Amino acid sequence: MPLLFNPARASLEELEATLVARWPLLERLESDLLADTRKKTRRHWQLIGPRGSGKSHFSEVLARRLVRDHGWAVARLPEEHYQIGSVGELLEQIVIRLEQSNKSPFVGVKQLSDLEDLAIDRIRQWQLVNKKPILVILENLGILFERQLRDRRSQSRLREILTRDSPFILLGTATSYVDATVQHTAPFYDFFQVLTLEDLSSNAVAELVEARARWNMDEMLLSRLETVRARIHAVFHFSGGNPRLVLALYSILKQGFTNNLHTQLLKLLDEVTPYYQQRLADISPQMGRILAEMALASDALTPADIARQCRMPINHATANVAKLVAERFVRPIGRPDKRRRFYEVNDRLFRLWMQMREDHTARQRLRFLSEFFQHWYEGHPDEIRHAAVRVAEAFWQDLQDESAQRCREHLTTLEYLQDALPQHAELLAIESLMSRRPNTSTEETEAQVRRLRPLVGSKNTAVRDISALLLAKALQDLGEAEEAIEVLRAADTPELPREYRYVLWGARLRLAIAVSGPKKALAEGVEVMRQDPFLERLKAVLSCIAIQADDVAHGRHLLDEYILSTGCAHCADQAVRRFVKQLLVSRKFDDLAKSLGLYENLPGVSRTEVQALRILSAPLSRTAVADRFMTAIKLWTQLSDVPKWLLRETICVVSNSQGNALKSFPLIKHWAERGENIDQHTIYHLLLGLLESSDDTSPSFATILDWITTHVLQSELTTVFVEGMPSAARTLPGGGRTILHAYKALRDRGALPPDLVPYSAVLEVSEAPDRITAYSPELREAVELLVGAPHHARDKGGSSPQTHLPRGAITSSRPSPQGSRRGSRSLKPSTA
Amino acid sequence: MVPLRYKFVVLDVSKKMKPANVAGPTVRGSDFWGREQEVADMWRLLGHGSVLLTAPRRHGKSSLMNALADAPKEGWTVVYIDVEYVETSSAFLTEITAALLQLDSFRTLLRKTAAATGALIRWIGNLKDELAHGKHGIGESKISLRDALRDEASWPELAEQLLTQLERFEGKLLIIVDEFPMMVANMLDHNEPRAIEFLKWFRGQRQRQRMDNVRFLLGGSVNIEPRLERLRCEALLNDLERFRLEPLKRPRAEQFVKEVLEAEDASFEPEVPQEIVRVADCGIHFFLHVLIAECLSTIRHNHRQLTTADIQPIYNDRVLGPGNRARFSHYRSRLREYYGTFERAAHIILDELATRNESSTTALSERLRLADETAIDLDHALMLLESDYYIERDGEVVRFSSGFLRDWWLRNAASSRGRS
Repeated sequence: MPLLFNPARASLEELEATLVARWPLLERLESDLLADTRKKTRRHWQLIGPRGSGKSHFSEVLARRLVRDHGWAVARLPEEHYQIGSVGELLEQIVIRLEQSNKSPFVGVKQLSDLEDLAIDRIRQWQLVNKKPILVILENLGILFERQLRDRRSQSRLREILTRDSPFILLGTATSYVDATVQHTAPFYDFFQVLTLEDLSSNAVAELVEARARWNMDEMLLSRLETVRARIHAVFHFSGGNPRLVLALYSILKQGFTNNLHTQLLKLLDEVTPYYQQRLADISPQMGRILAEMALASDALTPADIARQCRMPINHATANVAKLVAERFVRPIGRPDKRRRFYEVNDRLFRLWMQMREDHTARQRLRFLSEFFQHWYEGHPDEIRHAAVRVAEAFWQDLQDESAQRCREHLTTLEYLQDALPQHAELLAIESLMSRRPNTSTEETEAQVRRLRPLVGSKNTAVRDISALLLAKALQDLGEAEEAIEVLRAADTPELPREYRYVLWGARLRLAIAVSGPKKALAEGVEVMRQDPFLERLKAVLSCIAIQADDVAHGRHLLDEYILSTGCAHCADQAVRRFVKQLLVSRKFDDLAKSLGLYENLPGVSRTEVQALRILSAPLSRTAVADRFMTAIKLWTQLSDVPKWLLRETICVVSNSQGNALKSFPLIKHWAERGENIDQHTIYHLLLGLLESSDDTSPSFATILDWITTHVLQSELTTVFVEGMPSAARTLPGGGRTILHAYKALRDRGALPPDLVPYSAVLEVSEAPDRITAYSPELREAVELLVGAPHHARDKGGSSPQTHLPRGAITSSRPSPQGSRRGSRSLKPSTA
Repeated sequence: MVPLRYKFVVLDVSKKMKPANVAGPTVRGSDFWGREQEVADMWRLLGHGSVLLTAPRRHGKSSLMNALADAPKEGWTVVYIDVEYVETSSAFLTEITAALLQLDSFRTLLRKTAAATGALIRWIGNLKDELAHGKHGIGESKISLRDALRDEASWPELAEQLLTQLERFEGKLLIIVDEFPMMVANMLDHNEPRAIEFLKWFRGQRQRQRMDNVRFLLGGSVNIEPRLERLRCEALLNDLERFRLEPLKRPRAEQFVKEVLEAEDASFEPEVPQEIVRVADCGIHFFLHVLIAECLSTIRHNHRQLTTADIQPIYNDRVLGPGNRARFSHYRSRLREYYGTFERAAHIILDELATRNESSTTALSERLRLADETAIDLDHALMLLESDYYIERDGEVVRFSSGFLRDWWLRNAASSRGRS
């Protein structure tokens, strides 16, 4: 793991290959050390850099080069100084390392002052014999002076040893300036030559990532260096140029974008916990208090802000901020108002870490983590959208696999991605999920409902809100509109983000159409808009509902208001498109003609499309509706060029039109070839058309049944036959027998089960009519219907929404704009 | 000479050694630059008697003392000890004796008197090998001496006998005691009556007529005299000659800067040395080193040449800025710690000099009067400030001893900045 990278265990080749930006400093120090061997001046060195800045890496490279290239001896003392309690013991440890011994040669020495004198003599003697310059590396110099050698006498003694004819050169490392070297009265005041490891620049960060990838021979990462470079800014931003954090983020770069970037990030934040805890241990509690405040603030703060929020005198705040700057925790960001100095947290990953730990509200945490995604994808909004789609796919897969925890993580990731987009992306999460919603059978949708329910109960509001919308949608598909409304009502809490409330109410009003009718839905929508002005955006939805409520004028008024109030041209265009299409769906052809002026000026609308709408909105008397649609789509030479919405509506109208239903078959086939879902209603109408007009011996009969067999799920077809077909028996020529015939043909093809009631029963009765009495009253009625139902003519116009199958067929469960729709799971009246 | 393999780093040994930029520790050899006159003056002064050398830290005291030890004047033998960590008289005696034992001439002297009796011989009797062959390290000698000096009260007698032996030392002996005031402070903290007893004894030894061949150079950064004054013991050091470290004159300072930059392989415009000295407005090595270090850090970070235009911003932002505030904060804090009733007056005087560059004693007196500091003895206050290297006096005229210090005071300590 990068965070556990231990330079002492790495080869010199690796250390050299992965050392970036420090070479000038290292070569300078190496040169100075060598030059000093020819001089009397004894310079000792202090290497300052925050934790993770690469001090160990730097000193390890230096030490090994001195040994390899210049014949030096190096004694590196352990970082923790557990065996050092005095100057004598410090020298004793140096002796042990120089002599590469396992035990001290001074075991019998009792007096510490004696130990000092004996050990220093022994080091001198070692040097005389071995004739090598000695470098002693002492990590955590600050801790040594603050804990082990804190008394003045010890420090004075060590300084005395180092000052005159010291047999070794000391290289100490520290995370910041050590008090014992900056206090004027302290023995080590200004004693060391200070070298500072600056944070890496953005270029150096890129260099480090590349160097590490090359050393690891990470072909995958190296092969997409361009993509990686696009992320370097984010790595730089979050690491603040700290090499250890760069390497930590490297692990995310290495894995590329996966569906669980959120999980990776949380894992990373867990991994850096000991590192940050140590960094916090390096500073005073008061500095820690200020740092926490700054990390949790959404903007940069002035010392005055900090003083107020931390309840401390402003001079204390200023002094501590200055110390935090020196520790490189925070940095000044100039004077935006030309007067005050603002400061912000330097290390953004630390900020995330602190926010994750200290901020108790999930929403707040979400805001902070979104910052990560924002920078990770900065300048690449398309990647966010693609990423969101991949996460949505993973969500549905994991929902199917009943991995609730992973589903929660995906939903959270989606929320972050959504927040990372700069604008017009408030619905990225829900839209991505809806767009990747898989085609499922009724049973699978029921399973979805079962798996989504626990997520709706989640404490994580992001998970809860999105899950509620998905659950409502699934319930709607099952025809459980009332329960869906209940779910949405429960989800409408004060914490619900405004954007979600808007989506929620959009869905709720559409459900209300089915439950209470469009007029009540419209009234409910107007009322909720009055209570919450933010929901005025619902005017676009309500304009369509008003059409369904036969109040087109109100709908047009709402649409005009929406267009005037929305600041988003794209949203206004969408509203017009929906309004016009709703007019078409609701067969308000006169009103459609009036609104064509709005539509034809929309960007992306082709002249052919406008021409098609003109044909459709022509005065009704001129030609039948189904013919109009067929004429309209013939404006395009290729069926594949017909806009989806028009094709869908044409299938609906034509398949519902008596005598024309079979004309819809090529359209339905094409619809399926486009990868769109064929719902039960379409199949129902297609079958009705087939049974009305076709001789069961004709080739088209067999062809269509074969096509149905291969393209329609048995469960879907079963629903059509159980719930839809019995009621059609009265209207079909040949009555129930025609249906029975179709059942047998499909059963024989394996498209329907052999024991499907009432058809299996009817077949038995048809062979022995007296058996009918053996059935229950309900089944008997169904059998009678199929065996001897009277014939009634079907609707001649073919466009009435109230014909045989509950209205809607395709239109009843309209595909989502993205095209992945679910048909209604039952043949109950449609909901929208 | 330790053999080295210079595989990657090539050192041009033919090049004349120039002073490295060593801001902080004691410099020696070629890094000790531009103090020839002071070395000569110091030897001259030592010819007359023992010397007390006090100056703020990093002003070059230890470097000067090391220069004397590294290249003694003909006829002189020099012993150097650093006694900052010494807390008792007996430890001090041990340090001196152990250091002397490193000298062949001293061991010879002792061998000649080995047959004699006395406490001193008994004390060093178990160092026969050391006396005969000098094979022990100094550490081992000290241990033996400490072991034998179990009776803390016997140090005066031993010291007396040691110094008596030194009367017979061949040639002149200079014992440099670095951080002597700090040792005295330790002793005072440890046991005040004994410390005063030690100081009395030590003055007595320095004044021994027959010990004309032995001199002490006592150096340190702590001005111990105010503390001794409070104890009414200031006379215990007044036999010592005083030596003042002077800054480099401007042309020498410029040459010094030039050579340091060259030694550091820095690329710089030809006028940069003059600009550095002009901006720092002083010839104190340490202050120049600090400014040079910041300049080097800047150009090395940016991989470019040092220009004259860089100097003033680096000085303002980095040398006088927050990064170095703590480094010089003792110029403010020592007034509080050591000046007692003179603290406020000293502050007022320094504020006045910082804003006006220089002032007359009459004007300063008036300034103190306006600040209700009428009871303060201005001359005494000025004397304290001068001895601590804050100011210099030229007749009536008083000014900061360096432009660097004045700028630092103005930026970081002056009351006009809202500080106390």
